[in-house]
Amino acid sequence: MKIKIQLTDAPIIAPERPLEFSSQAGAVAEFSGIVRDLENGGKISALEYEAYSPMAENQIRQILEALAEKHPCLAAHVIHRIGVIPVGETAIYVGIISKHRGEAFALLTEFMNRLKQDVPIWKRRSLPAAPGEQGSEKPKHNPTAAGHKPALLSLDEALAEILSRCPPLPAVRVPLAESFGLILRETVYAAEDFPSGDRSTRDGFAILRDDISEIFSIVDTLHAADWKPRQLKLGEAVRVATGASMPCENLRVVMQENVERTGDNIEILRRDESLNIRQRGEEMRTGSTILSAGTKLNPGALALLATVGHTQPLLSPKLRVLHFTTGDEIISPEQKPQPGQIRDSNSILIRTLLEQFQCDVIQKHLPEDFETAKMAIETFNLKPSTFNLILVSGGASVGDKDFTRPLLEWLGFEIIFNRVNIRPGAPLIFGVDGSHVAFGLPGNPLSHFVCFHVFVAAALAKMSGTEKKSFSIGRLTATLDDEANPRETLSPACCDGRDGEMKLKPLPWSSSGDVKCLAEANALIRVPPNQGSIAAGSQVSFVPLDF
Amino acid sequence: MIPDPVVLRVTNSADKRHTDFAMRVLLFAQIKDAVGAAELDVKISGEVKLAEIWKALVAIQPKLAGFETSTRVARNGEYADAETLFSDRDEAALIPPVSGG
Repeated sequence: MKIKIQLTDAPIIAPERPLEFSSQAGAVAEFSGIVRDLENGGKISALEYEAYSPMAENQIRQILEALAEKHPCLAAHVIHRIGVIPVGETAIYVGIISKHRGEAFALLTEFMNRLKQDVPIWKRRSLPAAPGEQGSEKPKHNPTAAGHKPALLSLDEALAEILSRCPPLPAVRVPLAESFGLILRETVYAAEDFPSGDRSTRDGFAILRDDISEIFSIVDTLHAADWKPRQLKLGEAVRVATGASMPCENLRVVMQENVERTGDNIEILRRDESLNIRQRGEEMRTGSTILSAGTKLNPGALALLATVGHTQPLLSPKLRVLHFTTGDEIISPEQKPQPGQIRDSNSILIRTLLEQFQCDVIQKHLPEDFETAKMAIETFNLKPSTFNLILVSGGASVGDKDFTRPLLEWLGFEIIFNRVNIRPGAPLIFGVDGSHVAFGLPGNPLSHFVCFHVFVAAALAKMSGTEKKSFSIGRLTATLDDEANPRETLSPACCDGRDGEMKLKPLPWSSSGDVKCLAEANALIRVPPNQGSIAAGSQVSFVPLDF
Repeated sequence: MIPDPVVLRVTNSADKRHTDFAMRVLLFAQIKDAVGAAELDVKISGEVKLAEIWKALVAIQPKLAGFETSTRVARNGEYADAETLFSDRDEAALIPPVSGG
């Protein structure tokens, strides 16, 4: 019987045909074992497998060879994945080729039983599901959404609705070069000590730690990349460069400044206290935590992962976002507006806000008329169901509210709410379709800005498997002038936290069409309903906008 | 990437000086977690049977005592039995109950 065995840490892709297909073959029996979302009664996101690889391969081969005597088959292909395997992905693939189905079924069944008894592979631990995935499923329809007119939600109620309905997306393995800014969904442990051996921190001479000789003979020279183990004897020295691996243990490095060299001999003039050696495992011990789940991978974290060879971290995937702009009065920013026209600022605003969350963004402009818009979407051939998030920016015209809701419903979304008791940004629409979510953003730039930072950003964070801290506390440096309004107001402000306390300077704005404050604002102050002005020095709650 | 357990080398430097006279014992799964190391060096002289390997292991790492009844031992990648002889040139591995597939 022909046998092929693979232990791999890469995702398993079932082969088209196990091994080459001989003309004698009349049957192919295949089995894939998949990681389920329940382990020992708890919800999980992944299982981590460990193997004693050489022995595991050996055992698999021996089991197959023994079983083939009882059930003669033509070929067997076994792939077992090792490492972290997310829910829904294949842990083991077995393909058996035989002349008739009976032998293939028998061999496959017995092989799996034997594997689970004798092959040194272990489920090391299970990784718990991300927050929000725990426990029972939330019913898809809630009474306020199904059939009833949704109540006017407060900001906090709307945010809670969104968070409860955005699913954390399944984690994926991503090459380092494409990992920047994504969220780590596994804890990464050091696979080996770092540095992996003792290394010199000076240019100098390595001698035995307790060697009190005065004259040493130089027996070798080591550069940073050299690996030349040798046991030093008393009176022997090795010339070492900074970063060079020590030839053996229990050495010290005498700095070259403290040595007088004559030919192949050195005389030590001064000894310092320091060993001048960076010890094995000094920075990271095997098994110690390097990066925790939930970390957003910045350039430094990526350098760390590269150092330890963790080149396929388990991450929240890049979110795919489809953004529609609407409104016939919108023209490209390069054009000069005619009376009644305005330049499109929302496209660049939304695109760059999404890019701060590492989203892949597709943007399309839709014609004002609903029927034409539907035709346009079909013409674009966008496959809206392949996007995690759909955003629709209404035009500034009166009709846009009526346009976005039917559009989202036509795309298959259930509308959860279509108004929030805030200003600016009240006509916010939120819909879900399974694990896909959609927002209809009121068209004015400031409304866009507010709705994105308060609601869309929270949804993106949740889908990435993290919880965004939505609010902070700060102190006003100037009076916030406002008329009392029955809606909660989100007032743009400039926040400075350099002195330890968050100091908030309110920025002037008069309508949701304001644009100038967008360039300066890095905070949105929450002004409670019917509050009016707030005096300088008061403590306020605010939404921080920096990432 | 998950480390191949075989490359996990946790030996303290005091043990290392005796590497030439010691048998390498690889630890996996719950045993690795309990001991906090992926590998132990066990000093043996000549050829010894399994019972003595266990005795030597428990002497240097008492936590291993609790695993003896449930754990199989491999010698150079093959399951060993009570009569298998181990020398310091062998690689041994403690195999707790497996759970692959």
